Amino acid sequence: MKLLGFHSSRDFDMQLLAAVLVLVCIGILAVYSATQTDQPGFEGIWRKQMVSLAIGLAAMVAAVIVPYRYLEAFAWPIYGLSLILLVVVLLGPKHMNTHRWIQVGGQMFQPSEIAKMAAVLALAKLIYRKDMGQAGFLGILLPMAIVMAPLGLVLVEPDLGTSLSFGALFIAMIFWQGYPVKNILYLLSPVLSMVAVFSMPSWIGFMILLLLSFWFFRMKFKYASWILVLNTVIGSITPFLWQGLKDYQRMRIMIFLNPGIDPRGAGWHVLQSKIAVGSGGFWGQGFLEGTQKKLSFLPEQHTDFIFATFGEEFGFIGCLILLLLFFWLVYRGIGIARQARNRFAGLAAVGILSIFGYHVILNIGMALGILPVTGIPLPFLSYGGSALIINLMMIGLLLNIGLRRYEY
Amino acid sequence: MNRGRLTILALAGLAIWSVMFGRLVWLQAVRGGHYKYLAQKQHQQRIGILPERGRIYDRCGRPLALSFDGRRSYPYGSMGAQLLGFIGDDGRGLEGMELLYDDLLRGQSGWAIRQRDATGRTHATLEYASSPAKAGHSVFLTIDAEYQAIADQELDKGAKSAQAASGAVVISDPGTGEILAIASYPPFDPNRFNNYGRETFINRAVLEQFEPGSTFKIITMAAAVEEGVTGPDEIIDGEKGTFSIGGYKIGEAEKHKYGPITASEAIAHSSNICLVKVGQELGKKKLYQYARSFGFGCKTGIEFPGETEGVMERPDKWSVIQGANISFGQGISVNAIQLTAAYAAIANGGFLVKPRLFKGYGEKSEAVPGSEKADTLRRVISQETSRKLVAMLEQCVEQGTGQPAAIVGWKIAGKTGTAQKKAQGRKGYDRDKYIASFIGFIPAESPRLVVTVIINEPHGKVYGGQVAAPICRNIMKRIISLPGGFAQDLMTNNAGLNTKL
Repeated sequence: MKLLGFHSSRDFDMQLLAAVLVLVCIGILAVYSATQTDQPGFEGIWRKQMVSLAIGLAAMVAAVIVPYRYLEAFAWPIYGLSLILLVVVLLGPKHMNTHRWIQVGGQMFQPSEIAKMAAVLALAKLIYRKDMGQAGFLGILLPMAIVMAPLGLVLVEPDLGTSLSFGALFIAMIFWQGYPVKNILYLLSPVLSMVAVFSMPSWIGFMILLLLSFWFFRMKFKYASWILVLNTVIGSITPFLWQGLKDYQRMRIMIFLNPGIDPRGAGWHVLQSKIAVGSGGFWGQGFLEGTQKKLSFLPEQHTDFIFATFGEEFGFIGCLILLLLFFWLVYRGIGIARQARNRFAGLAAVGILSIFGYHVILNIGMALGILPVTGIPLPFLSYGGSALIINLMMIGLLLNIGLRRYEY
Repeated sequence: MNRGRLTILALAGLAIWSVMFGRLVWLQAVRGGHYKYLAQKQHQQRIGILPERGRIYDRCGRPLALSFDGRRSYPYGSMGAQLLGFIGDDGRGLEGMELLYDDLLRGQSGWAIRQRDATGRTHATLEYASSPAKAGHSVFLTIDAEYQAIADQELDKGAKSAQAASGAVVISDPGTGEILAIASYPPFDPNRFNNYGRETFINRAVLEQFEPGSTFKIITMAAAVEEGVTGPDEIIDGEKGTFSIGGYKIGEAEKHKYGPITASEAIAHSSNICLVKVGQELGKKKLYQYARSFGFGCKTGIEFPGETEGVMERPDKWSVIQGANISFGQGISVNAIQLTAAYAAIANGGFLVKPRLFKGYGEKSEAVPGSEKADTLRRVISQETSRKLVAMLEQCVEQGTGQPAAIVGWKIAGKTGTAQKKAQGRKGYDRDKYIASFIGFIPAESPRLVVTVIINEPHGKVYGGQVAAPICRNIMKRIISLPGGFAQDLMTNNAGLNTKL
């Protein structure tokens, strides 16, 4: 006990673990069902996922047992290593036309999955002693740099969906650490500027609002001018960046804004996903009975759009239970973060939860046709070994933090 | 972490969760039916099942048209093609019997709903619901395939050697009105109808109307004999080939100069002047009455789409010369079926019988339906008049213009015709365009067959006796030599008669 550094096994969050175990079981069933189609090439995929699950559970157990202090100690080396891997993956050969995978001994894995966890640890270690409420300009710039490095490297793989998860964990963690909400909004203002610039009147309106807010908050001239310059610059280079985007990325964004423009092309995915989920109705078509899935109308039915497969077969009841499970996971996780006496541990827990939250919201939002198609997996359900293993490791870390919540 | 921040976090989480929950309710509960319908539209496909088209049989149950795997085939090729017609790509009859009996032949389409995957493949094994197709009925015609083959071959041969533009042959049973063969020239093959011009599809026996010329003289004569205006042996002055009426000159063919001749001779030699005189004596009203009674100027009612009715104006509109012309068959239009029916009435003792092509239909079975009773429309002339007219027509083949139709050992009655064709786009007649025709029946005393041969625009030899009569003879010759044909039937009957005597 002393060696493992926890007071009592009663501190172990059984509810969180149970939620996760139910989720991985649903995941295996969903992958099994999603690969029962009339198209060849999906045989045995669910067995591969079972193997990954076994490895992931082992990794989770390891992540529970090893006190998180060791992770804290090694946060920077882990972070450095993850950045190296992100560079290596860019230099390596392409798989499926992108630089997302590294092949090691016949197994493919995505370094971006490790990088997410590494970024959480590094950022937590950097800011856990600081009062972000008093953070000045430099005080936010360094943490930002910590996440911008992997964000940028993942973005050029290219993997827009995953790269934005670094932004999500950053926002969540500085918020948790007391960074003023208005400053978070100012940090996000260049993003808004980027969106607004596609219509000149809205951009002008946005800039006026920005100026008014400076007066309202009595913003120091030094900061105000920086923010103003940043927004102006972003606003003016965005049209050029837009031209530089990959065709499919531009298409996805445009299709999200107007799904009707290409119903047989990329808009097809969203439409098919909605049809599958919608035709599930209240009770669902039944396990293995989903026709849209079986007849291959669903795109990426065992990876990015697995929620649609699930929704078709298990209906509203199934989807509701799934949403509740994810909600429960995050709810219990936040409880762990709150109770953690060690601020590093609490921050790391928040970072981990933000990653889960981001993936769940974006993935399900995409499958339900309310968010753009970003191509990110649904935790515990989507087929994919590295994501499942890392997700279980992160759950292990969460449980670890919960188990040792009274430590300082 | 202060309370305010937790509240913000909780509110944000609740908002996001509510949006997702709401969206789920919307997609699955509210619009579930709509998306189920969309899904069904995608993965269910309704497939039409074409019924097997019914067959067309001849009177003996020989198939003239049948279907294999959705393909229509006509085993006799171009034989009787204009009669049978053909079907289009949509499986609908486009011409002839295929068109007229389309409803009977087509049957009822069935359907099945099949599962379809995203690549568009359908799965025959997975059928949700289906309704089988109902095969079409078989149609039996009065046609005799053997007679039809003979008619087609002989018409083709004759029309080719006459370098004719077109032609038609009709063979019918004068007693029942059943049409045994309808041939039309130029021919086409319904198995490959796309390779032929539209003009070959026309059934010239039913659809074309023309001025009959001298074959119509027997109608004038029939009216005159029936009305007692003249008799077979009454003398009519041929005026040495020079006669005018109403200021118009009436001439004879080949500038013949007949003196006083009997009415029979007038028919046998086809004297225009004599028939004009008979017509004048009869009066135009009576001539019109009898012509109508013989079925001219209206449709015969034969089962064929688009039958022509011919042209016959009312007698009060006839000028003197028109009335004279009509006496010898110019100035009116008829079709070959009308002529056949009129000659059948003369041959069968005076009854106009409706010509028939349809024998019956069956439910895919091949049992030939029994013969229906002849549809006798009316008595046109008396038995006695009929007998007299048959004798006249016999004389025509024995001694007159119809001699090329004669067959040794058989009594044949018939009449030639050589009509001038109306000029296109001007008044009067073309000098070098004729319709040569011959209508005969065999055997003369108790006719079993009426054979009508029409040759349009022959070149070189143009007279009916030269062009059409030999075709009729060839047809009759081949039919009477058919094994099991009516000739053998007659001979055994006669033998029986002889022993009785």
